[in-house]
Amino acid sequence: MIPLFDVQNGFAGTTKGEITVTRRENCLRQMDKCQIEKSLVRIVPDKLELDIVYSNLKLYENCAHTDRLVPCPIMVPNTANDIGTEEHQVEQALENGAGAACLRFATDHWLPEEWVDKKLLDLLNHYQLPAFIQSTNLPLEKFAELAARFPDLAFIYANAGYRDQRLFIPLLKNFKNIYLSLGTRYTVHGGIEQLVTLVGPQQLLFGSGLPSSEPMSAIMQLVYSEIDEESKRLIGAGNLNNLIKRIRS
Amino acid sequence: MNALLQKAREGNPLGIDMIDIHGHIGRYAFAIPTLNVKSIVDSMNKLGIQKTICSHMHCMGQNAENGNEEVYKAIQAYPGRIEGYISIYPFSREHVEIVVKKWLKAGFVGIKLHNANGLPYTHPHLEPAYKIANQRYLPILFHTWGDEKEFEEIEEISSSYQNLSILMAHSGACKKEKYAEFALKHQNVYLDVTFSSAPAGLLEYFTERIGAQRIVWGSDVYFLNQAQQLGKVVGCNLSQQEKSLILYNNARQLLDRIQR
Repeated sequence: MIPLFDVQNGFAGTTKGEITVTRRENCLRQMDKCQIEKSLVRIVPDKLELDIVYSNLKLYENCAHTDRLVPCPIMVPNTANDIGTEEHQVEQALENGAGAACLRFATDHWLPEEWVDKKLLDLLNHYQLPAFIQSTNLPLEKFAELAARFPDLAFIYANAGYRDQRLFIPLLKNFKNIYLSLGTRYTVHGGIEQLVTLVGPQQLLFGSGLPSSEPMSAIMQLVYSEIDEESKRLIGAGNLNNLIKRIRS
Repeated sequence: MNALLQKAREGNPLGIDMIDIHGHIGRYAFAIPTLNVKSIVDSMNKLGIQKTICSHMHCMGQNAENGNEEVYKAIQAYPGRIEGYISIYPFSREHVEIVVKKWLKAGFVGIKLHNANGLPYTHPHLEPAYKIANQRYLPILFHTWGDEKEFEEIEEISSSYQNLSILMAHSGACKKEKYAEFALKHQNVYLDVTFSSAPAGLLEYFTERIGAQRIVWGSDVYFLNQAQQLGKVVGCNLSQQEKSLILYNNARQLLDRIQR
């Protein structure tokens, strides 16, 4: 059975009109149900996570005492001195075993421009802490521009849609530091097969879309794909494990 | 982990009967990497799906007849595995009648209607299609996306042609409550849960509201990925019996009631 390390998972958030908050225990139960060994987790849904300092503390607390949940805290440039310094944010993340930094440009009102993000991105680059970005927070062309500025830093593109295969192939070919999460909305007939054939399996990551999505959808798309076993293992867990091994403490 | 989930997790054929009631062949505006019918059948074999009922992507526009020709070739190439929905562009009442009769004679098992053409489902040119379909107890797969107008139009059709099996494509993509209410009100309405995402809890919600007997599974292959779409049923928190109704029995009944 292919081991799974889920890059797109989370809990403890809620969204407009929803009363229920998914608990950490639900997340672990779903992981058990589908035999997902580990997950990179955020507070999700994150629409109402507007105090990132509190949100990150909540995340770290929930991830403590288990190595199955790897935190992916939100980070923001401290250009207005309203949150901790960039150094503090990154140090705190590393102390808590973070596997990536979640950058929410649109939600947190900042831009991927050198005059805004240089200090934060330089630090992520220095520590090789991957940047996790959702498609809803940054248009693909801006995402590519950002990846071009930091060719040694890994950028994870999450919530990839099924209509963008025509873009994903040149994106992954041209930017070897971009990683695509095959979770939630990536439902392409022959899509994984084509990406593996034309680009290789190294830049693809398994993502379940939990808690809003049924995880077996992304799992079945991967395990039934017509690619070799080694590629499935890389996509399932190997690539994300390799990214996390590169993080400098 | 139950047996079905275990097989799915390992990538083995699921070993249960399945009919995919919502498939497509043909090119679309965004890139679909594998544009051949064999790739659908390969996917079906890998998962253990008996049958996929397909229309052509041209169901959305004026090239519908070309689409029907292509679907017919697919049926011929894979008899019993690929079945066909007739696509219709309502040029005129006469045209619609000729098209429906022609393809039913050729073995198509239902009709697919799409409103991407901007025409209402109650367009008078479509009347012959509904009449013939009603006489023969055919399924009609309507593209829907929670639009009020769609519900109003389909309500009119459902009430006028009560022998039809009305399949509401993409049920729950939005307004899940509305879809459930609509199905409760119209006993010949079936909810097809095809759409790109796999919202946790949607199938459980529909089953609780209307029962598993009127939920059907479709994948939208090769618009979408068949295995990914199957995952939402395999993984959901329903009994094996309920999953079998959704994946096979309900669709089988719809096909069995057709009068040729």
